[in-house]
Order: sequence, then C-alpha cells, then structure tokens
Amino acid sequence: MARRPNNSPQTRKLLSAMLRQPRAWQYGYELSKQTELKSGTLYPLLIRLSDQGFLESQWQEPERPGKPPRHAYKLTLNGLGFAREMAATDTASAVRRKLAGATT
Amino acid sequence: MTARASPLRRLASALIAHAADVLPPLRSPWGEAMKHELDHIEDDVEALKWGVGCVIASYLERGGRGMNQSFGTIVRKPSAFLPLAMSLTALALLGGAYIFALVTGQAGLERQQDEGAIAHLWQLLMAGQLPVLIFFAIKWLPRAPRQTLCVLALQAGAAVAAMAPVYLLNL
Repeated sequence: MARRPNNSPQTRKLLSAMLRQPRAWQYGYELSKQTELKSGTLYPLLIRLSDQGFLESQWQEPERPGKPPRHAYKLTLNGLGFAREMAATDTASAVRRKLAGATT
Repeated sequence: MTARASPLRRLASALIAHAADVLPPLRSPWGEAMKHELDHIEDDVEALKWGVGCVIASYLERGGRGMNQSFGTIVRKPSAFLPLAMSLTALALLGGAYIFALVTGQAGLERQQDEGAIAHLWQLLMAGQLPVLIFFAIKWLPRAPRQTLCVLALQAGAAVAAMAPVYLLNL
C-alpha cells in the first residue's frame, strides 16, 4: 500500500510544533531544536509543506545587528487546518490506545 | 577586527556552501536560508551538524526531483539508449555475418586470423559505449537511483547478448 503523504511522524512533529505558535514566524534552527529533527530531515519537510501551500515563508531582518536575515516560516490557513486535523487524529489515536490498554 | 572562525565553523560553512550548490536553481532561496541560519547557531559542533544535515537535505531534494522521472523518460535520454543501441548494433552485425556465411555456403562464423572488419566494428561499438555508460551512471544514479539501475541492467543485458555469441562460438 502506498504511504499517505504528510503522514510521517516527522511531519506530524513539525506540524505539531508549528501549531503551538500558529501566528508566530519561526526559524529553521529553532524548529529543529523544538522538534529534535536534524536539518537533513527538517528542510525537505519545510520545502514539501511549502510546495503544498501549507507553509508560507519570508525573509526577516535579524534581531541582533551584524547577523544576516533569516528565513522564517508560518502555517498558512490551509496548513493550520491540516495541522489541526493531524493533531485531532493523533489525540483520537492516543485515546483509543489508552482505552485499549485499560480494557486489557 | 573579527575573530577567525574555528575549523569546525569553516567546515560547516563549506558544507552549507556545497549544499546550496547541489540544490536545483529553483530551490536557491532554501540554500540561502540554510546558509543564513548557520550564522545564528552559536555552538560550533551544532553548526557542523547543521551543515551535514543541510548537505543531506540538498541531495534528497535533488534526488527527489529526479525520482519524479519515470523509467520511460530516463531510458529515452541519449546517454541511456546509445549504449543499448550500440550493443544491439554489435549483435546485429554478428547476426548479419552469420546469415551471410550461411548464404555463401559456409558452415557458420569462424575465427579469422586478421579479425576482419566486422570484428573491429564490434570491438569499437562495445568499447565506445563504455564512456557513455559511465557518464549515464554518474549523471543519473544520484538523481533517480532505482530507474537508473533498471536502465543499467538493461544495458548490461544488451552487452551480454552482444558478447555471448563471441564467447560461445569462440570467434
């Protein structure tokens, strides 16, 4: 059976991290620290989600002088809906697992 | 005066520069994003890990674009079908020579002392396809490994088919 796109644990981790601050622009390194995803996993995910219209990106001036601008990311409306859907599925699965554990 | 970057930091910068080069032109803003992000990582070891990851990300991204190419698309590339055509031509030469020998009343193909024009043509065709084959493998293996391996297997099959009569008939 073909794997559903955007269904990997890594994608879920990233979407869940972005959902914690849905209105904030977030940077690659910070996202990597929050999700514990290496840059080798994070960037392909960011690129794919951006291609699919779930993420928007923009260059932002650095907070500290002397540093280069940073590429920042935020969920789009579609992305927000998708991330919430994923989070709801995760919660439902966790509840089912707990219930199954309680009955055995 | 700015402090000289540590060797780890320099290595990380070199890795990210390579990662940015590897990315397809359409993705160049992502390469820039990786580069700029490095300057916001304080720890050198973390920076190096970031650099290594970015190289992996870039190769995955470049490979991913190639993965979209089907076997049919890749096999139609000149560097894919030329070796196939050369092997098949070499095989056809042997077949033609065999038929000619039968028509002229000989028992079949026989080894000639001076090897003859057909033997030289066969050798040229078989040896000439090697650089094309190497070029094809270098260019396409990183981009679409599975499809490229299928084409390489096809090319190997055609080459074996062209060589088999030479060895079997001891020509």
